[in-house]
Amino acid sequence: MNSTDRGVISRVESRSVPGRMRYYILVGCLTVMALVFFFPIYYAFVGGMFNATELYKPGIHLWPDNPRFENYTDSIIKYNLFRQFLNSFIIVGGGVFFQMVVSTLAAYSLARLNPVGGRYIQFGMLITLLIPSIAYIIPLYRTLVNIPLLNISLINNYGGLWLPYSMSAFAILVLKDFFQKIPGELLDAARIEGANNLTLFLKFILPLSQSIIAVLAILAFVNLWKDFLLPYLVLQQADLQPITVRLWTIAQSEPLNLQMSASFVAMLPPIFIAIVLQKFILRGISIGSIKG
Amino acid sequence: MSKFKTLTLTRGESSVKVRRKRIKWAEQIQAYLFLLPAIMVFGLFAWYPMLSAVIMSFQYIRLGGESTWVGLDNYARMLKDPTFSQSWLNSLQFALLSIIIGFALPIVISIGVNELRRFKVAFRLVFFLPNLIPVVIYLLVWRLIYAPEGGILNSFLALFGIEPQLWLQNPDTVKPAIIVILTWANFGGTMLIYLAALQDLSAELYEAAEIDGATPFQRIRHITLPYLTTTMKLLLVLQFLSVAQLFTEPFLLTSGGPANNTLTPVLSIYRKAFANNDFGLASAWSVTLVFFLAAFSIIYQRLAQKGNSHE
Repeated sequence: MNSTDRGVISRVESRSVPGRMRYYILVGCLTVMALVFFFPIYYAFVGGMFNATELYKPGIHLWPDNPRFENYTDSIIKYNLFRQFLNSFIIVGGGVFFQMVVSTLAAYSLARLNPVGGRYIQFGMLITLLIPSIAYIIPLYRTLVNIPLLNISLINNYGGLWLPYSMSAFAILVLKDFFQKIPGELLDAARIEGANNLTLFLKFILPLSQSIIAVLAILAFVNLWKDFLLPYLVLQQADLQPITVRLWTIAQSEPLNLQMSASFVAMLPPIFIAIVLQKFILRGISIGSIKG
Repeated sequence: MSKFKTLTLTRGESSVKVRRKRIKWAEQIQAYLFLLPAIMVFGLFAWYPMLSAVIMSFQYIRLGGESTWVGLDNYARMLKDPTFSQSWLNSLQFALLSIIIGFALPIVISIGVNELRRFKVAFRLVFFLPNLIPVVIYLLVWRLIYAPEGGILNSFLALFGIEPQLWLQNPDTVKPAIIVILTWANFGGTMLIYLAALQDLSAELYEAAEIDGATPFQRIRHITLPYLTTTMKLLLVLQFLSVAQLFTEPFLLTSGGPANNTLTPVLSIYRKAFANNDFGLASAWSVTLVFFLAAFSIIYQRLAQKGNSHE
């Protein structure tokens, strides 16, 4: 590890005077960039504390004269933000849960049970990675309006999001790779003891793959939380909508400072998740970049 | 030796044949029970919609749901529609702009962050944060940043004596303005991928170059950048793919305007379907988009496989 513990510039070089200068310039440039990138988040934070006229005053105001922290509580109460957060959590939590159930079951079958024609099913799943869902969003919407054979509508129903969200070829393929690497002797031994496939799956496969499932679940959570078009189409009833959809409608007719405070409140859960679960997200992204 | 090989080969083949003849149905039923939920959701929400997009593109569909076969009429109408070429041209311009504005940035930043000896994690986090914020929320903030009056961008430029601009209303500035938002929102993920790639770059290469007297910039030019080429190609294709699907920003921020300057293929599809109720025409557009995206995806997969085999 000590040999790889360097970048372009070596430790010896960085101790010299020009080396130090270079390092401080680099840190300075990156800090400026980081500030620029962080600015919109900060802007939502301070924008939310201005009073309505101050926000429009010409000139640059990076801090309000009389910060109104009560704007935050006002926007939470006025727009019922907690209710929308709850909706978001129900939608995304359910989506992640079903995605993990469907994906682990399918991956176990593909990895261990050799279904006849499994190869074709896997190819069919791969296709959904090649063709993004936005390309068939209209027939998907029509399917949700009227599920074939059952003739029921999933519009204004969380099922209309949970079911499409439960399909993830990416999760199935990653899990399948993982399940295939679990040593077969262990499973064979359990099978001789009389364990059937379901007990094997629940008692051995799932506990052994907790960490990869956690990574995939967090990645799914982050992605589903950001989704806009499908919840926008499926949930037309305002009190069902997640915060990502509802906030836009609310914002159309509301004062800007309250818009900003509501936006900032809405940013907090994803930011919180990022800070707490940074390691998992990083692992998920590196899996994603390899898998494509 | 060769005899032995052929022997085992034939033995292997015959055992395969035997296995093929005897499918253990009890096992297969179990295997398919485990697969059933996946087959059902993929069938209902991916395979069936994909298929019906193709079928619908050859049909005229009335509001009530009944459909008549119209052959290639939808495609003919699509090609005659002036917004067809306009949307794709916009898409191309968006893609080129996003390459100009946003392609090099994550590379430069990831090389910089990788050099840091302290606060690496903090910098990585700040650059990655925008990636986690839902689109509606950051659009509300950016709309205020771009606001013609009292917007922070115009106030900032006024310090340098630059006249206030109508960023989102002016055809000349709206595309770069949207691409700046896109770059801000997405580059963190790209940066993390580059950072992960840089982790695997062997330090011995740098050491050897240093001994040969290469300056830090020469090292970046001749070691770091060539090393990242495969990743760059992949991310370039990926960037094209994601810009071709651009929808939410123009839909919410500019409604395709001014003068259709931010009309994208997906936004057109949305309008044909939900504003004009012309599902057949919308499907013809979708099928076109699928072909385009699938072509790019195949290029991506090819590059990804090549990249893996090199390692």
